[in-house]
Amino acid sequence: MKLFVQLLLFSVSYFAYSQSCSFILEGKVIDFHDGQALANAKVELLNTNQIIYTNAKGEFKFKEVCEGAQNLRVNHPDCQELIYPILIERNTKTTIYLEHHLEELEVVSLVGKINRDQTKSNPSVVVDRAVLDKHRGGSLGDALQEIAGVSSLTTGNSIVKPVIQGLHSSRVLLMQNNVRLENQDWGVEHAPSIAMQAAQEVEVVKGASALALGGDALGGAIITSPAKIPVKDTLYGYTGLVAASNGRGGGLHTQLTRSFEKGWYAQADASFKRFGDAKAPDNFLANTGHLEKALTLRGGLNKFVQGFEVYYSYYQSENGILRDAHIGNVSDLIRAINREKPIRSRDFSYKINEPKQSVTHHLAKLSYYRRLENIGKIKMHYAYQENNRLEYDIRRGDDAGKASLDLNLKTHEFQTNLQIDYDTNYDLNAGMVLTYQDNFANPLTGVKRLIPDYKQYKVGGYITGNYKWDEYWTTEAGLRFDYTHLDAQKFYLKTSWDKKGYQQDFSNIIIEDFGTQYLTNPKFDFQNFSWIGGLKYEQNDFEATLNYTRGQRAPNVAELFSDGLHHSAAIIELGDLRFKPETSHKISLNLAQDLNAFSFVANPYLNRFTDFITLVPKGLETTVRGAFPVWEYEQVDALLWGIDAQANYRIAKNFESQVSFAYLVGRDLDADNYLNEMPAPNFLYQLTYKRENWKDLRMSVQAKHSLRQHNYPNNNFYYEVLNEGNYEEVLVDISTPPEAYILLGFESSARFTPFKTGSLEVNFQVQNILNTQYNDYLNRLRYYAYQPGRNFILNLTYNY
Amino acid sequence: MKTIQFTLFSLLFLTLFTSCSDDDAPEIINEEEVITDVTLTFVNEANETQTYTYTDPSYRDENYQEPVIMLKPGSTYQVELQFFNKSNPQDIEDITNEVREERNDHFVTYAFGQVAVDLTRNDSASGIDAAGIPIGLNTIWKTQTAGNGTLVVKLIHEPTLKDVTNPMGSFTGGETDVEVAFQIQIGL
Repeated sequence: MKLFVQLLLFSVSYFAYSQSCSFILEGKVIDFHDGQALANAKVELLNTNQIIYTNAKGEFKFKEVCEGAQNLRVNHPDCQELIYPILIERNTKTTIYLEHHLEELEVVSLVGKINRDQTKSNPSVVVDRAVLDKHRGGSLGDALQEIAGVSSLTTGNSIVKPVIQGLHSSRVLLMQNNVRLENQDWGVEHAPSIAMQAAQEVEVVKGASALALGGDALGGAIITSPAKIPVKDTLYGYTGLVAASNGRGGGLHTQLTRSFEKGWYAQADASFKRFGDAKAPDNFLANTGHLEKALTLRGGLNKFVQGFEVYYSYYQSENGILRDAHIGNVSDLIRAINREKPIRSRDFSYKINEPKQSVTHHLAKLSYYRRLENIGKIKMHYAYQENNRLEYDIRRGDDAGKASLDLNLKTHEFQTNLQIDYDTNYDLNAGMVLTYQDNFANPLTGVKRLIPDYKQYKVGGYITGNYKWDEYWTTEAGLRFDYTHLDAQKFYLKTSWDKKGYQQDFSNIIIEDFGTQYLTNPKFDFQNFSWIGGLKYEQNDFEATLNYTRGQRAPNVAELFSDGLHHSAAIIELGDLRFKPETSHKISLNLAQDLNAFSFVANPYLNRFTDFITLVPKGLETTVRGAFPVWEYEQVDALLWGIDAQANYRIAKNFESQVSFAYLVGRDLDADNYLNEMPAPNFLYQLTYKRENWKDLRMSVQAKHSLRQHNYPNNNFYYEVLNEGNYEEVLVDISTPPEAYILLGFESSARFTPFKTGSLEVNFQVQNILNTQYNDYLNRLRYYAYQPGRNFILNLTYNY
Repeated sequence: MKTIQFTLFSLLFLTLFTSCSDDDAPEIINEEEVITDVTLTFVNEANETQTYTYTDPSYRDENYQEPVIMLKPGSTYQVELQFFNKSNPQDIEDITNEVREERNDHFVTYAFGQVAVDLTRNDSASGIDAAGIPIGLNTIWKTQTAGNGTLVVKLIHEPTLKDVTNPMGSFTGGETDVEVAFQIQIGL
């Protein structure tokens, strides 16, 4: 437990008293972080019997205080005890700032906690430290799946993309230490460049209501931030080790923090992870190993009035793609769907061969903040990011071993934000963001660019505010404007240029004719308006929020420019230069009740889209490589509605049970059909035994129950296959969702103190205890192999 | 302090903005690996040569016509299969050589629809892999009765199993690099 005090003398009133023990000492106890008054803090004037509890406004007042050096002892349930020395020479007024517990997020609780930092009327969910710890050996997407309404779109077992209430990729914003992560998020097989081992605080906002982060996060935002560093003279750290049986791999993670009483601090964090081939119940999944390295360095000054930080983070990962999933055309797909799995069984190996992907991400950031007396706080930062994405296919001849995709994305971002919060009843936030982005597609791959070279300029401005009417009601409103200018240089094969009918509409953007190809210079200007309005009612243990968000997102580069074969899916994807921004109108209601033994959260929502960009099947196209299904991006009207719910019940003193549930329906209103790849309804049951007074012991059994998705579009098609001299029509079943499945899991953790200092946390878990053979609807490689089987994981963390 | 910081930030930002605005045109990529053309060359007993080429739809010009293989019934033909990359008309590449070099990783299959042809594999040493399997770049065709039908030629990369028990060829695993259908007319 760390704590810290900052003293500010706002006013000093002076009255001469003859008696030395009749001075008045009054003051206010305030939360250092959000400036909220801390009610019910115990303030004790040492060496006297005077004890006072602060009132609802955080105020206290001692009437008989002696002259000279005095000490106050301040206690608050959320903060550690503080001894506060003060010199009394006259009647004195003071403000005492308390720091939260450093381990604030380590408090073990099963439910993701509700937080109101991002928006008042659309609560965000903070992922518990225990949940993060549990998934140290996995990916961020695995951990987020434990939140009701968040699922994962996976490509094999190591590439895991979070899906929030049915939406993903460019519709989900990722924030790392307050910077929008720019990592080619348009691709479904592009996992976030975030090292799970080092993730410290993770928060999820469902929907675009966090306008300060971006108005285009129509699915939601995932916010990761480093832990707070205490302002005191200390050196601490931890080292964690994780080992897993499935994939025969593990990871090492270490962090060291040095901080000083004057507010200076420095922190280094490094992690490494390596896994070999994962194992489905009956066989190894060839070429599914992965490797991850991450490093974060930060340092700066953290004072109450002002501070700055220099931050650098590096992430590198290499992921093997299931060898069996590398297919050529429809005939191969038919063979894959109909064959026994797997075709290519091999012995266990750590080697990552082609097909594979390798991603490197650098993020450097310089930030500064200053509190302005009687106004609030101003923050600004500049961040530079560089993302290099390499994808390796199985290639022939001289090209073998050469990347087929080599994209380098550089992003500069400058953001400034002013928060006006001096009045406890209202809070205003205004800010602007400038972004410049440059994407370079390396021609040395010798493969037609999937994404062209482009430059993108963005200017965004926002203002959000909330007003607290009384102790029950709060209202919120916000507005954001984004302007995007995109300037690309793209080659089109003349045949595909003509096929899309671009010759009529865009002949003016052709800058050069190269025989079979045109070089074109498409330029776009997008203007997006987003706004929110919301209402919150709170009373004792009940809270209800209602939020309306209109969000707008400019089409991404894949939606605009795709014109070719998508290898891993064996489909031809075609974008469209004519797209305009898509708009979402989302209404979300959140009801939460927290009684002693019982608590629940229910979140029904409705998300109506106009110009929703989605891939629509358009028949087959024949090439020299055979036939491929063609999918074109189209803009349709769409509706997504659903409910996320969670309930906790304490059965007995040490026993807690939890159930969470998510249900969602996605409709393409133009085609009057279901939307593709919507998460299936799912339940998560958990029973936990806790004994905090014995080594923090915790044991739980978990059952994940994923139902079968019945609401799916039927995109199956027939293909003529030559068999024994005659053509046969063969059904290509790409749509039918897999069967329902139930996975059992066990988890236990305890904390020991085997050494003089520090503590050792031990976490042991078993996933898929019954070694169930199953497939998940949102696994893009489900045609080729089953999901991984049983896995034993041991996680040791030593805190010092 | 604040003003200085702000100025520094803005300066930094502006420098980066301006220094990045280069306007280099991207380099054209002529795909090195792609197969655009599949050619079948027939030599009959009289040593007369016929050539048929299938071109990928993306690389066809206005003059392209769907090839129709015209053969005589009861005849024997030496047939050679070739793959070309003509994506850059100035630099036509014969991919067949690469396939021969990597013969262990490649395999060709033939399938006839509605016409009967006796096919035998006739690869030279450069077309026989380490396991002794002729990969099928050179074949001998014996046509039977007259009729119209199709031929599907496949080039498979990295199959897990190549089987020439039936000389048409069958396989498991791997992915298709080429799959094209030719019209065949066996007539008089």
